[in-house]
Amino acid sequence: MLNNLFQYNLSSNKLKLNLDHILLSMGYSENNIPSGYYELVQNLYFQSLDVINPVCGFKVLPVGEVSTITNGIKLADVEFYTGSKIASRLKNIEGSVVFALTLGCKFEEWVGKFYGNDPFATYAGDLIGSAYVEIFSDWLEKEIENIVGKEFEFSNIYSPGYCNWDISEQVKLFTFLPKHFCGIKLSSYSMMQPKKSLSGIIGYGKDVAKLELPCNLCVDFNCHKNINEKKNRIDDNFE
Amino acid sequence: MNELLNKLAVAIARGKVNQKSPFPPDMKGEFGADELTKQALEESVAPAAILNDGLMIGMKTVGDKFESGKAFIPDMLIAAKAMNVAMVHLKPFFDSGEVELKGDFILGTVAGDLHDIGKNIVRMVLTGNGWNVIDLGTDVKPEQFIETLKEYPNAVIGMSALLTTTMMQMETTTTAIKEVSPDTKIYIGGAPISQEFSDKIGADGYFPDPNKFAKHLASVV
Repeated sequence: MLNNLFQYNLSSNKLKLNLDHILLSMGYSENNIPSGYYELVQNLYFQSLDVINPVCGFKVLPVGEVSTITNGIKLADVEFYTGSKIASRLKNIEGSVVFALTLGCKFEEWVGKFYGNDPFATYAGDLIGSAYVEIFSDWLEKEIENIVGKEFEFSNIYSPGYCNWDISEQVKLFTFLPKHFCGIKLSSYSMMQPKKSLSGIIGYGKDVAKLELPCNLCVDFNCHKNINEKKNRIDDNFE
Repeated sequence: MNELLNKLAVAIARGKVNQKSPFPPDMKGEFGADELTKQALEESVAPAAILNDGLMIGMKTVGDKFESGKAFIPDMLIAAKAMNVAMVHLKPFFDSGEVELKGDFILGTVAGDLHDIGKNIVRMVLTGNGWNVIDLGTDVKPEQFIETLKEYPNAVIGMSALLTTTMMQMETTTTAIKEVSPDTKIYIGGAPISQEFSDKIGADGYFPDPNKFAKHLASVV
């Protein structure tokens, strides 16, 4: 089985954004996007194509190097305390992939230059970055599935900092990857720099299921990815 | 004079920065906040009137729409950009003390957390509402808040965190600040934060909505 490290440097045009989705994520509905907003976002999107440097990679841990522990998993000799939610989703995995991706430093510098003088561009630039990361992770997920093999089923992506998996475990995750992999560094609080980066694991095996909408099964109040729950909470606060 | 200030309020609410700005499309070629503020000063409109009866009215218009669900964060940020441009013309009057801001507000994302978009939105909305915001950035340690508080002793403090792990730093920071300055108001915000958490750590409140927060501040300070 594979036990290799893979690394990719994507062309920015591989990550095509749907600008309507970005405008919808700002709170507008399809029928009430104010005149001129699409053009503002489009202009920023075109600028962003020159500053993103999408780099990613992953390491495949073969069948046999993964086992389960209470509220977590063990990859090779390293124990991860993912919390019960993720652990339950990974309980049947036979192998695992550790991955990381980033948009690079230039993107961060580009968004940073708007700060203080163009609040909308600061905000929209951040959303554009998050949208790139989502699309990039979708691309990487497919690539991982192709490399590992169609004979397996795959889990969702799980990352430190989400679903109650403590972000400090990101340090352990990066021990599976070469130092400063893809140009990503960890801060003293285990956060990735550049900020628009993602790391995590994907499990694989014969009896592994991917959830269509993982956030819908979670009632975690304290997760910023749980948009529905958050929206309900805000609505409740102002009723 | 009223007509000029009304135009200024509209320019702010619609985010019309200057005459050259192509946004919003239906105001193309019209004067924006930049020219209108300059014109008002040239016509000897009192700087305080420009701030209170022009700029702040514009911000209030968009803030009220936000509260009623007719506007969203980008609308407030677009207005804030026009406001920033207008404020450049008023800066000398703030510096001389002729016009007073509502107060000082020290803002930062807590130690360990590098996320700043929520903090930045608060900064923009509070600046647009007439606060002097001292933005300490991200990964701000308790001692940085305390040092800045020495410089601005009557300031209100705002802290932001995005992650459940870093939100715990809010307790450490709140405790440290309250130890040296028990009367300093501390407000917290961020995706994982709740009023329950605010109560638990001894902060003075949690607001998920920057506009409501600005209104609250105006009512208590």
